[in-house]
Amino acid sequence: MKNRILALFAGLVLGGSLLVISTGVVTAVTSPGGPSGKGVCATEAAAVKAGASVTTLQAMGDCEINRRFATLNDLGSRVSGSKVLTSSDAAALTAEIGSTRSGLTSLKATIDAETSLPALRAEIVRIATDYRVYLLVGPQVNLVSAADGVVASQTRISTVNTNLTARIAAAKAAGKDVTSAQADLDKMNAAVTAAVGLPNPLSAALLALTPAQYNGGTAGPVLASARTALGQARDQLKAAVADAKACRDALK
Amino acid sequence: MPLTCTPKSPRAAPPAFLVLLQVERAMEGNQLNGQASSMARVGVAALLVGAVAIGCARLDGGATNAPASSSPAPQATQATQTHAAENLTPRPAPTTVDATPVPADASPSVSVTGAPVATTDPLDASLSNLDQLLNGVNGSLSGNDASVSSGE
Repeated sequence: MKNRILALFAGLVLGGSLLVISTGVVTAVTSPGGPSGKGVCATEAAAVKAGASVTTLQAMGDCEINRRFATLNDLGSRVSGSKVLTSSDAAALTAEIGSTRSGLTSLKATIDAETSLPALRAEIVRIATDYRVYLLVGPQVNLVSAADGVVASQTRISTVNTNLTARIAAAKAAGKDVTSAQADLDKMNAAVTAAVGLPNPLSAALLALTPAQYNGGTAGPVLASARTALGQARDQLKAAVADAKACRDALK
Repeated sequence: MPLTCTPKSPRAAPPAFLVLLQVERAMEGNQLNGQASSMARVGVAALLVGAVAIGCARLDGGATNAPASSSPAPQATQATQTHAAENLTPRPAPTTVDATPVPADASPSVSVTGAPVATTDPLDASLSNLDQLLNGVNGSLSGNDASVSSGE
């Protein structure tokens, strides 16, 4: 009997430890990852600094291209999974991501076959200047998503406006003082009006930008002004939502 | 006799320690009686309980609505923190953008199972939906800033 109790106790202890180990393994497997961040190729860059050779330059070029592949995969997933991007904008972004990926694939093959140091240096520079994954493609995906999100928000705020207008009318008909609620609704509509028009022309302008335009200095200001305008539109719409909530609460 | 994880399964099955007792009795009643050392018994018991424990852990992981046990959640948090500490290099863009916007006209009065639930104000649902959309916009703008800072 004593042995039996000992066996059960030992079994439970071992089983418990196996449970802990198994859940830990599951957690580790599901953790995200991907070589996309800045500094991922620091080792390769240091090797080039220590002594540039065909091997070290090719390793650095491959690393820089691979981290861009990881970023492009992430951007592609976000485009395909987005619920606010219009179908035409999503298609345009998907095409751009695809052409960037195929261009980098071709450049990688060139780099891997290159034997001249000066040519390798020039080809590695092209990884950034010909494709501008981080300075143009990423911002295009993000800003077009934001612009389409703002447009979708405006559409839904009009539904809220209809709802609140009907509630105010009903409350007024019931003899309730709706002064405060009406003021909130007016503020909401003013905020929406201020936001209207900010994102509408942005998507087309953003999608038309090219790496050459970025290198020439003309794309950067477009991206910056789009970022500013979308931030303003977001703030206006947030204020509009707050006004709508205040209107709703005033009618309770 | 199925080895079932009794706390999670709706089926009536004996707990793991009862299964072990039955195995022990069977061993005592057969040719192993008197021959198996106590260490062998410990080993058999440990393997059986371990298998049941792993089965229970997988059931917990696969269950969608079952209440989580106390150990996995803190471990997940710890693992996430460890992962964050290991990856000090910035990533270009968070993937939280446009994650789960809810359709504006989604009916909030019917649950997933089709059973009626407490009625939700459609206006509240619309406003909540707008909040989510604007959070998505915010995420896109934040992701843009992170992308630019990823270096080129």
